[in-house]
Amino acid sequence: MLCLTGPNGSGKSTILETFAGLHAPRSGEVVVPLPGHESIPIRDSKGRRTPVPGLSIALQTDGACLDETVMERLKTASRVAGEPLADETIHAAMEEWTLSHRSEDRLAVLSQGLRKRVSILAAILPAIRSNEPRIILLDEPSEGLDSASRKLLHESIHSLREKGHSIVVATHDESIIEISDRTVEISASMISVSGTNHAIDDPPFTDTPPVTGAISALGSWILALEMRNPVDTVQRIVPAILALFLLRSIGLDAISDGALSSLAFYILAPSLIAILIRPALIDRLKERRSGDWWRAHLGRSIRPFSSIIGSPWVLPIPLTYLSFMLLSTGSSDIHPSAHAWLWLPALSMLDIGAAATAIHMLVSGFERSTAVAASLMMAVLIWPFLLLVDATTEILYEGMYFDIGFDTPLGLIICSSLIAASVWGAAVIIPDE
Amino acid sequence: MARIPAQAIALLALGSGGLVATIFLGITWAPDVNPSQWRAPAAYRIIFLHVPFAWTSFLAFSMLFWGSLTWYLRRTERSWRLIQSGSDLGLLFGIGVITSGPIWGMAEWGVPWDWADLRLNTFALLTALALFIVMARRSQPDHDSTRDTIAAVGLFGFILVPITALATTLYQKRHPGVVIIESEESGLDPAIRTVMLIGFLSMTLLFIGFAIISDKLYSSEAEIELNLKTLDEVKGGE
Repeated sequence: MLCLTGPNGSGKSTILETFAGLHAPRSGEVVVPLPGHESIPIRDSKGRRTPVPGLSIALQTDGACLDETVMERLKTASRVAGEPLADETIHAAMEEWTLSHRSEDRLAVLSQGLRKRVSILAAILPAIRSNEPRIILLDEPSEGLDSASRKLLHESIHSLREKGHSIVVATHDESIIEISDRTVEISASMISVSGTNHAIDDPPFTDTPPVTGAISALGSWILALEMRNPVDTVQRIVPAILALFLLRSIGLDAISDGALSSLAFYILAPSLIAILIRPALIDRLKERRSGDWWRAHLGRSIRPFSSIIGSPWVLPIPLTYLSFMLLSTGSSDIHPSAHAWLWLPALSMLDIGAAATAIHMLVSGFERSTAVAASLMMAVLIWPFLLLVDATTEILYEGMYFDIGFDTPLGLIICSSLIAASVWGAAVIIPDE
Repeated sequence: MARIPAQAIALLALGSGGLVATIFLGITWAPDVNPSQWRAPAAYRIIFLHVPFAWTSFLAFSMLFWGSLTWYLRRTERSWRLIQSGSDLGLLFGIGVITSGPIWGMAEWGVPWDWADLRLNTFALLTALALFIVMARRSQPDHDSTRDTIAAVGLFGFILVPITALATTLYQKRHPGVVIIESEESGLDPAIRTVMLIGFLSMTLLFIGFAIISDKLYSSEAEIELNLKTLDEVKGGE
């Protein structure tokens, strides 16, 4: 067990989070040394980034979205750690930490002290139940805890040490410092190390991190939060519907120049509006640093996966059909089978949606994200959209056909998807820090 | 004290003079184009500014992309200055392109903007990208991580530049072709070609002058920032 101590602002939390790969060191690197094995590089100054295998972390702020329930938080933490636990096991741990009466409550309604307990339990739970040695990083774990919870924390730390887990704690708490094997004291001018260097007898982990489980946990997390509080759907659908009704009220004749593509443009416009809206997922990931908690476990994978999972999957197809029904009345030129194939360009709008989400996530990665305009980068998505307008125009007036070419519906849809995919790729490759 | 280099002032003077001459010759000397082929045969004269603007914005965007690339490879202050100057100049000359273009478009096509024109839209997007980078640079703390992200956005433009070039020939709808290169075949009047070349040369001189001044400005800024940081440390140690 290692304790990082020092005055406020000395950099304890920054070092702890750098161990988790959340910050790039200006020089040097963070590695996990494995006796008899090649060390695993976690983060270096050149931008290399690997999730720490076998890691659990409790950030100083909760590292969780406050819409999550206590049970969900603990389940998610165990799944992300690659140690999915049965509900009974989680309930037993909650009982021990006197949280069971709050298991179905959202974190938003809990006191700061209770949220701290949840955060610590989420970090240590996978290790308590794991037979494999793990690394646990705790940032000021005793802050805000009552005396009973502090006692429980001490007991848990003892128990984890006994089981051979590695624990790194950033703290001011003398009672925790006293029980540590080594202490690193950080001040503005120097770093001093005391205590014995406890040799690692067994490699703490040899397997690659269970990223697949973490990704599936991320998907479930995003879906559960949206089902509970559908902010994303509502904030996307309202402007889309308003735009649609506005178009319907004004009347297409008043705004159209008579071009065949106008109807296709207006049919797809509400979907475009819906998919370009800033996703609620970004705010969820920003809340109480829950995004950092995910980044610590998923590494760089978080942006590509969350930009896909967090895209507005449900909206483009129904919105396109709704627009078609409301706006195409009175148009006699429409091919009889057009409605049967409108789902195809609408489906391709999802690619644009994923690219838009990735751009929003890229911009949100800036330190002062509110000071830059994502819409400037979003403008690039007008291309794939215009290609879809051309494809929809063809479908509306010629019907669907399956020839491949630059002016056939299928060719245009493929081009649109390829452009959207390139934009998405560029946005997710760009480093987040 | 940092001074504006004399050669930059000379280049700006030459470029500005050339630009005035371009406008004057374009209006008084260059003949009207064939009215049967053009809807607004007199309005075409804006291309004497529009096309050189497009050329210099290409130079600026190339500077931005080269800076972005070398920032990733070497992370030098020089690369960062290229990004700074490239984005500023890309924005400046890009605005020249996307404002002069719609004026001509309105006269010639009857609409200021053609969403089907890939090259027109690419220029608008490149300019939007330059604006994004300028805003991000000015608003964000100047850390390596911020520079990494901005450089990556600059690299993203690499995708757009070749598309713009290809769009000239592959996916051209309303937008005219490459006037200078195709002039032999298209029978462009020698007077028009001469004025166009003067415009090109003048705008290029202006671009080089601005680039030198911008580089000087940003290197001086970096020096001042370094001195301020040293001062912070000295004051902090008191």
